[in-house]
Amino acid sequence: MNTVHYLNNSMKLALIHRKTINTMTAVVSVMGGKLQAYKMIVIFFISIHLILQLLSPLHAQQVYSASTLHNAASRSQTIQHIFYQRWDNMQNNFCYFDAYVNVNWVFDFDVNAYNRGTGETEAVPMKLVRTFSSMLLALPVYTPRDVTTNDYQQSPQTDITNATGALPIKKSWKKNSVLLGLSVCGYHYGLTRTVEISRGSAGSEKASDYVFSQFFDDIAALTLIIVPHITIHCGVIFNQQIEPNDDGTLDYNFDPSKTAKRLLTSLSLFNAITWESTAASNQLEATDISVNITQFISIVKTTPQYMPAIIIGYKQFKKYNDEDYDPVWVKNEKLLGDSSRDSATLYSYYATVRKNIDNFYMAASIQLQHVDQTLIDKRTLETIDIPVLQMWSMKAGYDFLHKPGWDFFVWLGVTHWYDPAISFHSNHNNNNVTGWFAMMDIASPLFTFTLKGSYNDSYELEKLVESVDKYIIEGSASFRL
Amino acid sequence: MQSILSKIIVVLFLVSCIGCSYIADSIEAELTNRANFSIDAYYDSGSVMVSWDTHPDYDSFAGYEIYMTRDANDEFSEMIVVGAYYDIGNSSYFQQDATLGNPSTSHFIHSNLPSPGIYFYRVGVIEWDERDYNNDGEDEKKPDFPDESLYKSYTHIEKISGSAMVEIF
Repeated sequence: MNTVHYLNNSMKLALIHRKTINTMTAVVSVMGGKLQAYKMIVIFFISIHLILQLLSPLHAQQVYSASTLHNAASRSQTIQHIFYQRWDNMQNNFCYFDAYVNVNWVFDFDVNAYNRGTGETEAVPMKLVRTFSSMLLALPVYTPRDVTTNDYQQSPQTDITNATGALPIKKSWKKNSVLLGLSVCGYHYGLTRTVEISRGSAGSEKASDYVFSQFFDDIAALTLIIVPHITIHCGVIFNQQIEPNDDGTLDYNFDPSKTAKRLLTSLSLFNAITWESTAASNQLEATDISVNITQFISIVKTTPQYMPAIIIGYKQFKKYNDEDYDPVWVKNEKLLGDSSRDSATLYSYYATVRKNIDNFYMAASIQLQHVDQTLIDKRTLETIDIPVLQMWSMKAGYDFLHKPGWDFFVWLGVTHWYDPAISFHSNHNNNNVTGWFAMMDIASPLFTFTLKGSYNDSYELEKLVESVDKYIIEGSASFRL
Repeated sequence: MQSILSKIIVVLFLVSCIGCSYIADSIEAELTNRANFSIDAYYDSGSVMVSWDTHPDYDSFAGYEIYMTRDANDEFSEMIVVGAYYDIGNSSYFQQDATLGNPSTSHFIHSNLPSPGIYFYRVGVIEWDERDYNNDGEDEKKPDFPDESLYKSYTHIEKISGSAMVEIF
């Protein structure tokens, strides 16, 4: 639609101004001292450019600019995260089938869009839509006949609020049994515009149009589970970007030959040590290694009841790659026409402690960070001082039912998040935000329903930093057997 | 036999789920009435011809409605109804057209045009709400004796087209 490139205006202006200044300075130096008057004029215009450069981010901050959405690597992390969450649920509840749908709306995006009526670009209120669906199937291919005890141990969930079905609903999988899993997941991201329609005396209704690029990410994966020793996932992630038609409709055509592909692999030993990785173009793009200490100890000895679940982990992700949508330069500024690219890897170190006392659940997490290269703010061209603390969160929940297969959770949480793009997408002077979420989670043996509202929740910001300072509503449902 | 059945389930599972992201999106699109078919519209000799090609559900079809942007030269202004089977319009640009009650109709000629400028048209497929129209205790897809009063109260936009730009001279 209206092929307006909606990169951050300030980034583009800054680049243009820098290039202009460099060119002008070069001209002035060639002229030397012979043309002092011209030099003064050039300096005057350079000053005007500098003032514009300083002011432009202030104006541009109010308008949405996509960054994470264009970043297929980042989007791949998001879809994988949900993929692993769904398998956590499958394994914790000993299910053989899981179908899940999630709809997430982020409101209050003002986006510069071209109005074909006026012929001008204007800020138009839009809604960011994210939808996820998945189907997981676990087929038992071998079940030992001589084992009678149900000694399966639950898998290490890193997100306590993903504990739908806190008490398993089914008979546990037998030790040494083998299951083969098949998974398909899909995530759609895109901006939509609401259209108000007056039907005269028949009332009013609303419709919606696709606006700008729409992103479709899919996973097809195979899983092997040898209970409880090994869980292996491997699959392909398809990243596809489709431009909608000028009239707001979209012609969807899934063509694997035209999509970017990534490989995901994961290995979990005794549900205590987990290694997850993503590879793109024969390069390791992201890695996540975690250890559930409590689970690990329980392999060799019985852990006391009062001991909380403690999970520690490390992950690395090539997050900054000098792409147009990145808010930062890596190592140094790249001028227009400069095709060189540098990459910086974000290293995160996290720890989660969680514990339930009867119906009451609580969890606390902390995540520290380190970036292996210097990052430079694209607006100010100043080196960014990355703080060590990237995230902290505290969550508490109460299960009003707490029966096998039946739950009615209410969760409240407070979180904190750092990202160098936060001030790009908001009026914050720095890149730290504290937010909250509230969630209601209902589970029955066959169905689950979740409703969540959040504002600057770190979980959401990690997935999509553009959602800073915006309310998010999310609903999901699943069917399981 | 069981083995064959398992294979069939697996194949069906894979085939039906290719493009899972699109399935996810179609659920949200259904919730928010996403524009899902295209139309043509052009100005000629004092009127605008709007044409479309869509396949409504005959069992619950209530009519087509034609919409146009309220303001000239503003793509993002509210849309108002300018054509319908029943007399529901509030503006002077509205035309009641009996052919719009026929599901096989595929065009509409708009003659009550506003002042010159650029306008955007859409077509809505209207369906009856599923409810108990004849008080027999069971829901029906449409009333046995539809009328304007029922239409105003118990219909909704089932499908909506994308917009088509027209310059009116």
